Amino acid sequence: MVKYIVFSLVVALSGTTLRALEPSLDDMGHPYYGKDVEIIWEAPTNQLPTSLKVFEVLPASFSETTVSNLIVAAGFEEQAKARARLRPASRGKTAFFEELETGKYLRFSPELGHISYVNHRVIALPSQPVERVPTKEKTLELALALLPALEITESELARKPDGNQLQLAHILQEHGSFDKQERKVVKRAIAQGVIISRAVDGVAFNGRGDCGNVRVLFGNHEEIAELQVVWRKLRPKREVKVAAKEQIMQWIRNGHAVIEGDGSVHPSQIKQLTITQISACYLGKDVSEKQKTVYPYAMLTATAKTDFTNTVVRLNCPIFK
Amino acid sequence: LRSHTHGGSGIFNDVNIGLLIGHVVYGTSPDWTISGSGPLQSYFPIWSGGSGYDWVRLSEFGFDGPNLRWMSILSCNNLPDSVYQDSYNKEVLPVGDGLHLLCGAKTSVYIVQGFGIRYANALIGRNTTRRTIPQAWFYAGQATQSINPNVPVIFRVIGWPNCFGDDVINYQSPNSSNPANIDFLDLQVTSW
Repeated sequence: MVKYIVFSLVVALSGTTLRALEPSLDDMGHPYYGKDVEIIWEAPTNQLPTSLKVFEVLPASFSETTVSNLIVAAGFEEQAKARARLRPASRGKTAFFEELETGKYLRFSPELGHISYVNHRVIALPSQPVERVPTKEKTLELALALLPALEITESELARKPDGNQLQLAHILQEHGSFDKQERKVVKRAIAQGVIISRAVDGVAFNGRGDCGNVRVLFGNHEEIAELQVVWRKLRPKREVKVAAKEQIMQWIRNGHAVIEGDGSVHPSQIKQLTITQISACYLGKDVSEKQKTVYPYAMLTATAKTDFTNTVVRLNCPIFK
Repeated sequence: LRSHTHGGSGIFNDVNIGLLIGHVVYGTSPDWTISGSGPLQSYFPIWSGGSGYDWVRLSEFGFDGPNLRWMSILSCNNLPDSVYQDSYNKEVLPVGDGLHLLCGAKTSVYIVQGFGIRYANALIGRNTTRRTIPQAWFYAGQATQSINPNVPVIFRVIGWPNCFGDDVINYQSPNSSNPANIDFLDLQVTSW
């Protein structure tokens, strides 16, 4: 009984130590308890804003222009039918059109801020020829050229923390087989794509899946094999003050951060963490999850020192109380 | 989980489509228990009660038809290059003549809740279009990994070449039983 009372008192008096902080970062890495770890802060913080917004998610609206642009880009054989089926999308209704003859599928889900286009027949199967799949560089060029059709401007795109370059990820699909004459494995790129992240007020979206981004994949003849756009409509709900670095280090010690590594080091082996970079991000949820609120969080890059090696890890941590 | 020939019940071989989620480590030295050729293996720890874990080797699964067409394993590093290539060279990949495709991962991947529902939705076309088995696997994979990965993430599908266009309704029986004809398909996402 005495133990229970003492435990209750500790819980009640410990304030932020045990209180859940927003957002929940459970999906963003492995739990990390840095209680006995030496934490050294070397990251500049002058680029961090002093405050950030918390947003409420509202149903998005897709203009007639966007809907029309994508119907044209899809190149449906039955354009009139596609237009008729997809017209409700510009009035805020979910609408989709699937053309069985061509295998093309276009869907607008305004409530989720989601556009999805799939045309996988342009991705070569092992028995089919690979023809004019774009290079990595060309993929980016084609993807950026799509943005005006989606009414997305460059100011809405995320940039890397250390410069003006866009925050991008490269997607590559390769088919591999053993060449019996050459006696070696040969690979051929059957599709190339890019993920372009969104930013709001210069703060990048991050998360798992399509969570605030444009993802586009190109196959044969530089045709779009898949396009996923998740661009939720946001309304500021409140403003929150960005925590000081001392508070963030305390949260890491108290187990509020999660860690992403390359698997070469187990978190329990870390003896010292040197934080070298911090940036504010907005946490997006994959489109399959209905997100009601968008919260900011901190993404930290750190050098983790163990008894055997040094490795670079990423920590995701709350950024406000 | 092991096939009959490896002393198990081969439970996955009783169904058409299987999904196994767990942890995996891969070896860097030859495993002589699988064959005299000592192939590299990945190992699946299965909790066996008080005495700890039973480590199932990749080759011991022996996935095969006629029931099982598509098997999927969501774990880190179940088909890394070293294990895949060595097992391919030594003809001990767990791809039987009747299995169409085996979906896995070449690198570390994050296992998060909701993978299964996303995979199932893509397979049957719920709120999306029905995808082929490899594209459904890649779709679910991308939907659960970071859009800004700090290390490359690679999902891998291996199997008989004429089956890579399979979906759950339209599919072809494997047209080869020569292990040299097994192909792979990779989806890689890396920071630009």
